[in-house]
Amino acid sequence: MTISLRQVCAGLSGKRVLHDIDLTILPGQVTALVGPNGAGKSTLLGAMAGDLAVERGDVALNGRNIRSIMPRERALLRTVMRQSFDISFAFRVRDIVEMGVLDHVPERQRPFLVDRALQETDMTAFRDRPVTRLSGGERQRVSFARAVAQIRSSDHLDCARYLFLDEPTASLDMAYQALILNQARSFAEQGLGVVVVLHDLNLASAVADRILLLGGGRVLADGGPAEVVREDVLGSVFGAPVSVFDSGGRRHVAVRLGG
Amino acid sequence: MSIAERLPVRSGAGKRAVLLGSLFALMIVAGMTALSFGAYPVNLAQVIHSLLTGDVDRAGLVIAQVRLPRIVFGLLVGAALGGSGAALQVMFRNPLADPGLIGISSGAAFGAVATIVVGGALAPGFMAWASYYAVPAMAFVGATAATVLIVAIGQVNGRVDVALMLLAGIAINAIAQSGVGAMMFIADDQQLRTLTFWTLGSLAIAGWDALPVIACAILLPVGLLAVKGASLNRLLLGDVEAAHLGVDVRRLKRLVVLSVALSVGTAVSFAGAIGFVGLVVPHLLRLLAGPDNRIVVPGSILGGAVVMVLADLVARTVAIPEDIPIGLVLGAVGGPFFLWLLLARKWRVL
Amino acid sequence: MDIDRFSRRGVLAGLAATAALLPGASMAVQQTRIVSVGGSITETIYFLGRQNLLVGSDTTSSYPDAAKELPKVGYMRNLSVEGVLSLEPTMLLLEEGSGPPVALDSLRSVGLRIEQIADAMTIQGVLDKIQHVAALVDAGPEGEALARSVRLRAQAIGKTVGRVKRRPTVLFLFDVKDGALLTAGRNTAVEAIVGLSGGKLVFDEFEGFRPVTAEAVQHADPDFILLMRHVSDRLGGAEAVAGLPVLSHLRAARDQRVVDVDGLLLLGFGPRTPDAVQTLARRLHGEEAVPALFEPLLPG
Repeated sequence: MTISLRQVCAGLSGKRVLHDIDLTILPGQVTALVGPNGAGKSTLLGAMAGDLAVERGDVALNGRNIRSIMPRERALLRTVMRQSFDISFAFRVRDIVEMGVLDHVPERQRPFLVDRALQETDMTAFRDRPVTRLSGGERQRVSFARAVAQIRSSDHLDCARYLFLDEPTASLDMAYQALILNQARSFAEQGLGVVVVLHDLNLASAVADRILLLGGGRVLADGGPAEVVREDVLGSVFGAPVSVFDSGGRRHVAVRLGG
Repeated sequence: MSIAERLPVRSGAGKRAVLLGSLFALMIVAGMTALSFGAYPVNLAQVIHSLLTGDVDRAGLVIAQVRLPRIVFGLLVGAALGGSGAALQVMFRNPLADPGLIGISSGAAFGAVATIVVGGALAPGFMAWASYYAVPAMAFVGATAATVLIVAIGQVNGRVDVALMLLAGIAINAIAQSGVGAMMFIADDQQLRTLTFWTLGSLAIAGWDALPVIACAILLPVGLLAVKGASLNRLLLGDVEAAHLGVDVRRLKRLVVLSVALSVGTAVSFAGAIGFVGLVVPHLLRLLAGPDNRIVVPGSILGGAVVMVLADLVARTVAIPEDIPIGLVLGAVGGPFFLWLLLARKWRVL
Repeated sequence: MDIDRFSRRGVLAGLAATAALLPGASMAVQQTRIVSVGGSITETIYFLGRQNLLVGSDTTSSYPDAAKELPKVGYMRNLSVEGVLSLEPTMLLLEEGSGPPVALDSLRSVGLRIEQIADAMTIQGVLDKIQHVAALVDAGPEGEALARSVRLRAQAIGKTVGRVKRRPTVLFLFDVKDGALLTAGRNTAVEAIVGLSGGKLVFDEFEGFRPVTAEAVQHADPDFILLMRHVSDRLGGAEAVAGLPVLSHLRAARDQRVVDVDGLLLLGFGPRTPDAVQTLARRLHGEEAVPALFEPLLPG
């Protein structure tokens, strides 16, 4: 049971963004999607999550064409967290998190799932706050809590499930970046296939089992941090001089400034 | 803290049941109150007794044939407007959405007026076959056309652009209203009288004949909307987010559009253009019970019914024996009330 | 209000009871209680001496003065169902064009007897109206007498008007709005009464009521401006009307040839129609050409 993409070409509003993507996402691992702006990371995430129809090729989730799975069932099999959400009405944090609790969960259990998700994401203190009064970073954390609630709704399933995180750390300070990524790792250990789009190569290197480096809509490198996080590879793809060094058992990347 | 939050009931579903149950009871009380008053003086208890014993006098006839159908009609119209307003505010993610604001009422008006004026000339066969239902049917077509146009124009990359949608609404409104004006210009005196009556807005209805059809055309769609609260909540997060959470977004939007067009189109085609209720009642509900659409949508259906039937009570009794246009009552009372609501919110009294 | 209605009803009921004892009056066991809608219908009932049967009328019933005191059931085209029923009528007498249709349907469904009287735009139409109403209120002889009187008057004034050679043009002002003027064309009561009075409507390209521009009015250059008194009052009187921007440059306005006549008298096409023709004709043609042939018809 995997998510597999075969010869996928996909685009947005007429413009082709992804070219001939062939890859398989395995459960039980954290896969990071990295690459420069416009490389197609979010589009690839969208294709994998079944958000957009691909122009060519196919995307299969656990052996089935992902677009042919009904939205309700898809929500059981995969969870997506995006950077933020719109809201025009004064819902409270617990209401937003409850929206993540899928419909099949009986009424009695719903408050417990909500509270559990809030606990796991250290958001219990925010429970009754109106979301309209939250900062961007706080909203992102609410988004994540909702994703956790969604995952917990489908814990009863046997088959492989997937979690997609699109720039989950963008507006967050270090403590919460760590919290989310640790939780992502933990989900992978519980058997989910986790795919994270990250800008920060250091974070990718720290959290991921596998890194997919995208450029110009193609997969330019695919492997563990040791193989992908290298000066020559990164330098050519990002078009910037970088230094790569090992420290504390991890690969680190730094942009070289100055001459 | 809304009233819903203050209720000493544990579960969400329990709270919803209590609130909706109370609103339902309120609707019954409002209906009974409205039934007791009117230009024709009746003693309701006596009348009910006489109707039950089959000994029907003039008072009984007035209640059974004149007042009760009108009240039932009022409840239905209020339900259509309230529920549709709530659903539209969600779909457009805009608290200012209202069936009237986005051209549905003027589209229905154009359909109705065009049928009255040129229907006989352009399509005599249809007019003869449809008879009583020709005007409401074409009002419905007009309402749907206006809605579909506005939603289509307001879509950008599959996303609803609110500003674009509102502008589209203004444009379609203007076009429809000039169409109505053109029809009025070429109408003869008899048609003009019928038109004018239609646009004033009134819950007057002749007996029970049309009510079964009206009831189906309104209760079915708003009933469907009432049970979609959870999906509508998710829709508020965004189309893509809602899809991630299992909502079939395209199908839900189609349901909202069709339900609003059918229920509001029906209500407006028989009662004339009545605004305001669709905008204000959902806000009242959110004030009472919070923004959860599992309460707001069914609550607005019940609340709209209450508001409509009470407004009609005022319209029928404040200047006996005249029958004031109901739009006047809604504006005169609803306007200042809504203003108070906004200011109270602004000054954080509420 | 309720108390007034009650005591008025009591008086009318008493009168109706008394009327029932008079020879020739209705032999029905039930008292006749009539609601009359349409100024000319109500007026006719008074001329027939059957006002004792009236329990209510609409807001257009303004003649005679006593009719204004009757309980009102709303405007002719916007009747209130319960308002009508609260007067416990046995019959609703309507002028053609009353409504709304929904209210009439509703009243029929409660079993109220509704009699519609056709509109009139000719003298013969007026006579038919009188006969129809007379039959419904059981006033046969009075109806004959009234019809005869109206016919004789109409013939007299008709002959006099027929002798006048010239037909002055008339602009009818129904309302003024945003610099445009709402006026009457063919197939209206206005055209009919102006025709009977020996005049001619200045706009006859269209039917019914239409807005016309100030330029069109200028081009038409009517001899006279005609309007209903309540509209003239609203605008500030005949002189103020002559001063309106849309009219002030016209010959008729400068020479103060603005004629205002009571609306019901002018356009009601009731028993006083010959009076209206006489009044209008005297203004249009001058008092020498059209002498006063008769005094105004009075009820009772």
